[in-house]
Amino acid sequence: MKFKGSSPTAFLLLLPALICLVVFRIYPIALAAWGSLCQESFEQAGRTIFVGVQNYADLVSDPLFWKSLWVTVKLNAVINPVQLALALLLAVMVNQRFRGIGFYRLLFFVPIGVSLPIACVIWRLMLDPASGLINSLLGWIGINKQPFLIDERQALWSVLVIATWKGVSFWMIFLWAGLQAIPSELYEAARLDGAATARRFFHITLPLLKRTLLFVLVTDTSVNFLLFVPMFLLTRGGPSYSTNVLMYEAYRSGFVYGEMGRALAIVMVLILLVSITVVLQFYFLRQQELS
Amino acid sequence: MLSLSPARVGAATTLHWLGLSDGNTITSAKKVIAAFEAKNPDVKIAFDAYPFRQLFETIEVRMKAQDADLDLIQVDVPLVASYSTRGYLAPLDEYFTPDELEHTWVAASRQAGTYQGKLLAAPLNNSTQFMYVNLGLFQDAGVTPPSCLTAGQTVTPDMVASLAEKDRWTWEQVVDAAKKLTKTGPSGQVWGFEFDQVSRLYQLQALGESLGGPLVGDHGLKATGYFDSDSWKKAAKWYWSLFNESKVSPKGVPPAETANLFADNNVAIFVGGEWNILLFKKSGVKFGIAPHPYFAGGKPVTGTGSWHLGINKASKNKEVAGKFVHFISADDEGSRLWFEGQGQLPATQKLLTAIDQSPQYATFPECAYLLGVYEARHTAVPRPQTPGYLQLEDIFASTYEDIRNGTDPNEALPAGARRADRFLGQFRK
Repeated sequence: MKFKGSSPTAFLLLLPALICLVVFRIYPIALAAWGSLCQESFEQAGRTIFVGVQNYADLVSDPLFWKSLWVTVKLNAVINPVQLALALLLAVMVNQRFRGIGFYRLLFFVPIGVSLPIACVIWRLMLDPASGLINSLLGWIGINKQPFLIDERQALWSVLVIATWKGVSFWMIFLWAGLQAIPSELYEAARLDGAATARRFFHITLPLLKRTLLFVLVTDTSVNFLLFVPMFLLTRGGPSYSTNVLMYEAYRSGFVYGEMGRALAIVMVLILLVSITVVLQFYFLRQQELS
Repeated sequence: MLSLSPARVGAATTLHWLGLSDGNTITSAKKVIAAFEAKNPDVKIAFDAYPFRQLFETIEVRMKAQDADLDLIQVDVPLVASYSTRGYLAPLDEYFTPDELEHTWVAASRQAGTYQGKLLAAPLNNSTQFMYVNLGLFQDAGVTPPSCLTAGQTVTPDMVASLAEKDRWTWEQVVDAAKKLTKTGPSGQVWGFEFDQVSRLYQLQALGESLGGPLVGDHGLKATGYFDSDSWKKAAKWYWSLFNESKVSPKGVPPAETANLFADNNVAIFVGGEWNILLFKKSGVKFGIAPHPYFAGGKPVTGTGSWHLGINKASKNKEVAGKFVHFISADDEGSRLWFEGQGQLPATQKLLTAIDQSPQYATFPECAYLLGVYEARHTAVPRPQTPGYLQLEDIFASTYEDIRNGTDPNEALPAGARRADRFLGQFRK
């Protein structure tokens, strides 16, 4: 498509957004990139000095950085597909029309109204190993008490459950909007042709929802790579660094240990990681679209 | 964050004080601020309070930003060197006369607030550790409690010294009793034993030190060989067993909630700071106070050191802030008000002498301060002097929280030591 002669107008219309992009995105990233090349000098009363790639070299030789990277990748490899699948399932469910559906929709929307810190506090009480609600429920069905957040094998997955409980409803709204944009005539025609529910889902719903799915997947991935609140409030990166994602390690380096250079180097690694993942997601979904 | 804003607006100077929200600090701060403002009507003080760990993080953020709107910082004493190295604190010497600098506080507190010959944080109070015993739960379980200070007694400093020297329990005795006291009672689960500040360096330093093991060496710049020494491995194994073997202590309870467990009759033996006396007295729990335990074959050691007050180097109100620091830390009225509100062992010579001599401190529970004075003079060990204390404290807490949750100390301690060395190493450059 060509918009001959309209470039200056388009540029002017885009200018406010571009200015915001530069001020609120590009400039902070540039500052972080510069900060990642600096360190505090303890010989000069905390003065910041340029150290080149020293912070990155230190990261590469630090086993905790690699562990944090692994925890981040492991969490995201599971949480993003799980959240997308559950959000889609919920969206399909709330898209149904029957008597009383409003009540179910309200139930699904409840987590959106609860802030993440509040949700974490509630979940901490429910997951309490000694007197939590979840262990009481497990006890009724004959399962032993579980340690959840204080066990290095269970803590990350407990965080995943909390983040998913909080996040899925939000992503569901986008997918529900996408579902409502699909013309009902397509389903009626398919039904007349004898297509079963599963066939209608895979041949009409999924293909026509692909753009919305791509948006949700990309945004959800970005959000989950930066997931921080549950680790900060519930586990402080433990037990045994099992929930020490890169975002929390960056926070701890910068604001607990006072090593802002190291923190910003980790943030730059995270930005790179998110960018690569998002580019790959775009690439694969576009390939599918073309095929 | 809790904020006590100045009551009146339009004052000539408003000081901003960043402090702790835990325990009795807000109450104490309110009293001292009111007294100072009454004497200085042109000055108002806003107290911004944060929980223990968030306070350190907020200080880091605001100091790094060279926030000139912040005037006063509550400083945990082992961090004086760290903050000074990074240029956060302004020297305080000019706000005190040479005689005041020399004689106001006990020497250890003054030295702890001094870095490279300058006073950088004035002592607000000191601290000590007791073993609180729930006499009702001991009686219910038919277990004989340790000799302790309790209601109805009138004691002298000599009697308290005798108690500390002859009747101090060992940790082995504590665990034996705790096993008998741990049970599910009518008011829910009763735990035999609990620490006040679980997994924190301040609380647990006494364990390894009791066995003769310093936590760090080489002038506070090396952890490997100290943090994971045999003494600390033995201490950590004992700590691990409390939660994972004898199971006399609960997992998952954060430090802010432990004292309430004792106050609510859910813990029989509680080792914690003297500031808990006010809470336990108010709760109505029937309790006694015994000396802090030690390991059989080791030596009695107690935690000490507490909060100091410093002035932000970037503050625009240093003169007025200095006046307030003098009032709260050295003035008779200011330091007394802080002590009465806080309930912690004071750092000034005058208040310590008053405790030794006043009949007010001969009866329970005030007589516990006599025990505190004894511990401060005979068993107190300061926390490690290292510019990397901030990092060391966090690594210690993570390591011991893992041990509490079941990680083998033989794995956790060397890993913690290596991590601590990575941070301490940068101060050796």
